[in-house]
Amino acid sequence: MTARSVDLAISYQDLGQITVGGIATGAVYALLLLGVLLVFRVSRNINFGFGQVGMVGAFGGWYLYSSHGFPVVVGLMLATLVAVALSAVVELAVRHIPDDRAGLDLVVTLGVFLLLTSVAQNLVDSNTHTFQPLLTDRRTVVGGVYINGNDIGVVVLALMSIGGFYWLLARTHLGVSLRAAAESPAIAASTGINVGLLRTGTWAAAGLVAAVVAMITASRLSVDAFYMTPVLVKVFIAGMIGGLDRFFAPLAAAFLLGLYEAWVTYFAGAAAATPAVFLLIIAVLALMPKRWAEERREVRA
Amino acid sequence: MTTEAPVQSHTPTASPARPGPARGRQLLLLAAIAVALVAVPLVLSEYWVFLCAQVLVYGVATQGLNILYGRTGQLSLAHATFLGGGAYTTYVVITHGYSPAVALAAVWAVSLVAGLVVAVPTLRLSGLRLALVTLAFGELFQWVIVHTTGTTGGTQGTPVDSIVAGTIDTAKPLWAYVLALCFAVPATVLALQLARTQLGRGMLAVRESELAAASAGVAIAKTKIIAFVAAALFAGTAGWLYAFTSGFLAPTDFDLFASVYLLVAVVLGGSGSVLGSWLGAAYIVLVPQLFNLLGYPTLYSLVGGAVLIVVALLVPNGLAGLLSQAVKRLTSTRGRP
Repeated sequence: MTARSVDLAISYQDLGQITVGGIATGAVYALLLLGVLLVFRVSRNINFGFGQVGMVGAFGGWYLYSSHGFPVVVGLMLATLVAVALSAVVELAVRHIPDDRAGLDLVVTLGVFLLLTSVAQNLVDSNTHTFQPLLTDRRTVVGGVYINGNDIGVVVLALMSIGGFYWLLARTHLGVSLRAAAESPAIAASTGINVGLLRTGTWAAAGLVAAVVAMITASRLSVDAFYMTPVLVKVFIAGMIGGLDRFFAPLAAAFLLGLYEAWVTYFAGAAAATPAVFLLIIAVLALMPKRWAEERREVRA
Repeated sequence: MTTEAPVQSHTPTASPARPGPARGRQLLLLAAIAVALVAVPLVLSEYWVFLCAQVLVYGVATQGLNILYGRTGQLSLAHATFLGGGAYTTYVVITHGYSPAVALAAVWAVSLVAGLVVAVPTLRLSGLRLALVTLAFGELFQWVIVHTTGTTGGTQGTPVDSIVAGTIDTAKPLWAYVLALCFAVPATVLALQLARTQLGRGMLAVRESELAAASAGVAIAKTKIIAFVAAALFAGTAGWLYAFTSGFLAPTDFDLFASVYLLVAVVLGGSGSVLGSWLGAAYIVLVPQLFNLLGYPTLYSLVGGAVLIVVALLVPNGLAGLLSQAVKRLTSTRGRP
């Protein structure tokens, strides 16, 4: 074997390693996007504070087990309950936006974003902390590529959740009620569907998704008051590219975004990842066909 | 300063001829404002004069965002980026030995280009998509600042020399205030005049319904581009002022949080209101200081979030709307027999 072929073999292994990492990152984005889609499908709202709701679950859980001596599972469960309740409360607030001020949900949830960040900073601190490892760090070698147990876990969880959510929406009575409540709340209410309860329940479920994703992210990186914001921004980017009115397209975009980020990091260096992602969103949203770019609701002052 | 027509009045109409007493009241109000502005450096301590200068600087920036978001309905999360663009352009130009006047010309040129660069690709976007693309521009700007340490000071920030001419030195609060005032007054007059022009009414129409505006002959793309460029020019000018009055630039002064706080200022003051933009600017400069004085500096961001939620939901016309209502109530009570 020549020196050049050895180099190439090493490069292919590196590329494989990067690809596995990219798919796992994309799975994290897809999972969080599932929560965003859940909310958007049912109430047509965008929650800019969604990542911070998840942060409350992870950072709050860390705070309870590391500073107050709670068992890890109990701490994480209690904080998750708070995140679920918070998400439901945000829905109750957003529900009061009058119809003629469509899109104000973005402004209100920007307030939620600021509020939760500040609460975390004031109650805990502004520092970065190591989070409890989840699942297993055991690695399997396939074709010279190390595959982490956590990576496999998050990909499987994402695929199962996507399948489960699709089945719920397409094949169950609850799914039909959810879609009816989204498309025509008045008609849905007249047929006996409790639209308000459905919406609050959906937001609460999305809060649970956010908390789980925030814990997975924290175990892969670290936890603080801000760490979910870049994740949410990338999730929104995937949502915008794929279209929030669609189902599989944005989720596929989430996986592809994770891969794109990983490959840019590999080929151009870690410093290039951030501008590459933001240049991508500018280019895609600016150049995509008008029909694809159209939104149902606009933000008005 | 006049309080404009309520923001939610959707049909712009020609202003009727003003009766004599109303004109007199306006002149009286203008005189009172002039006296108050002159009294600031005479009555207040240097610390508070400096804060008033900062209110004027941020007031120029919020007037720009008010044109873009309040008047035209385009939600931008890049306004602090335009502000930072102006501030860092100033720093780079003066470190190359050019005068503040040249720096100002460069800031206007950069702001014009930046406004066009953001506006043209986002013409078809609204709502979350527009917010996201403007946020992307903001993140790119942050990345450039952080990765050009030799030119901009990077994450550590950088000090900026003040304008010195004879006894004038903008490092002193009095001159910082005077400098900021020289730009705040024309910015306010421009913003007020805009409301009375065809362009200003076109912006309101775009905000309410692009379809209806187009059917009424409003050039949607041109109106949006002008709004973005105007916002960038106002913010860039504020950035130039910020560089010379604060004396230090750091990337965190112009990040996503800074953009959200500028949005808080416009929403709290009253979207679409010139007076509201000033009230909002006063809020984002003075309230943090109030918390500092009370010994709870970190509580400001908590209050900021809560205020944005409450005002957006419950006070659609903001503080300016509340003030306008109170004045109306007062005058109608006085008018009763």
